[in-house]
Amino acid sequence: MRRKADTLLPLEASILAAGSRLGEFHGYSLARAMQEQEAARRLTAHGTLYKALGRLEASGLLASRWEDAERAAAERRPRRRLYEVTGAGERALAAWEAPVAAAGVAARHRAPGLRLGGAA
Amino acid sequence: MTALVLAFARAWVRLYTRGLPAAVRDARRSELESDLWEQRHEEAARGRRPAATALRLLGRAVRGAPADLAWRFEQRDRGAVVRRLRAAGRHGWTGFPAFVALAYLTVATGLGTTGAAGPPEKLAMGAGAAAILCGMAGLWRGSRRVAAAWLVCLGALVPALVIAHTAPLALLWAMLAGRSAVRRSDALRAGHGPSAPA
Repeated sequence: MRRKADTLLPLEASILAAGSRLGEFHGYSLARAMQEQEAARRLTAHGTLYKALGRLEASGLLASRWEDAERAAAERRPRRRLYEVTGAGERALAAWEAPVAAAGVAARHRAPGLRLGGAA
Repeated sequence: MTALVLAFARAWVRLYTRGLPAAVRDARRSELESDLWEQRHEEAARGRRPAATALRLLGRAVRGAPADLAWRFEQRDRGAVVRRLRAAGRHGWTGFPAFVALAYLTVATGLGTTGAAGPPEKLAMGAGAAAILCGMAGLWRGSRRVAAAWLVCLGALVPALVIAHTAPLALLWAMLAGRSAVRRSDALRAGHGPSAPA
């Protein structure tokens, strides 16, 4: 089943949310941040993570650049590909979160008595 | 164990990026190499056991394999893949009526039988082969295509009826031969087929 081009998958929203908090990030740091964000037991799989990153970059929701080779060489590690959430990514995340937030507010408005009753 | 898992992860990324454009392939390989390094060193800094780290690395690689394959497919020119599949299908179909005609000719000339086929069968097969070849030639030239397709079908049908005495099987056989011959001629007329008829 094909999804709409302008909708986010939960994984993509999670990437954007974690990425927004991190600022500039690389794949592994993002996987760790997502694991903590969702209190998940496991890190996101390589294939799942990089496929989603590629898709988000192609959609303009993320931008990436390769880190300076000299810096990586100085730290004796492979070069990192650094990502950043774009303005479009921030807006897409806000649009994705809005219905979720609205649903939460509506639920709180619908069930005050229940909560009060429960508290009493 | 860590070395084995790393070797596996690297071999896997080499495998599924093989044949992709160099920029895409190298970017994915470098990105994964960086990820492996980061996880290994970050977990070591946190005091995790190397064996446990290796298992987690392996888990990430294995769980992501379906997504890796899906990603690979997305990277390739889908149009080219579909065209190649269609071309393969065309060539497969192309050979079928030619194969039928050749089989009939082999039996009709006595080269491919142990003597079980009598004169009526040989005659039917010879006529059938001639009809198929004439039909294919007509389709190839594009003249009287309906008649030519019928000729191929009948050429395949009659000998099959004579030999097998099973009408449904013979009809299926004939339909396959006729359909493949028409497809072959369509391919040639569209300029996609090989330059010589099969």
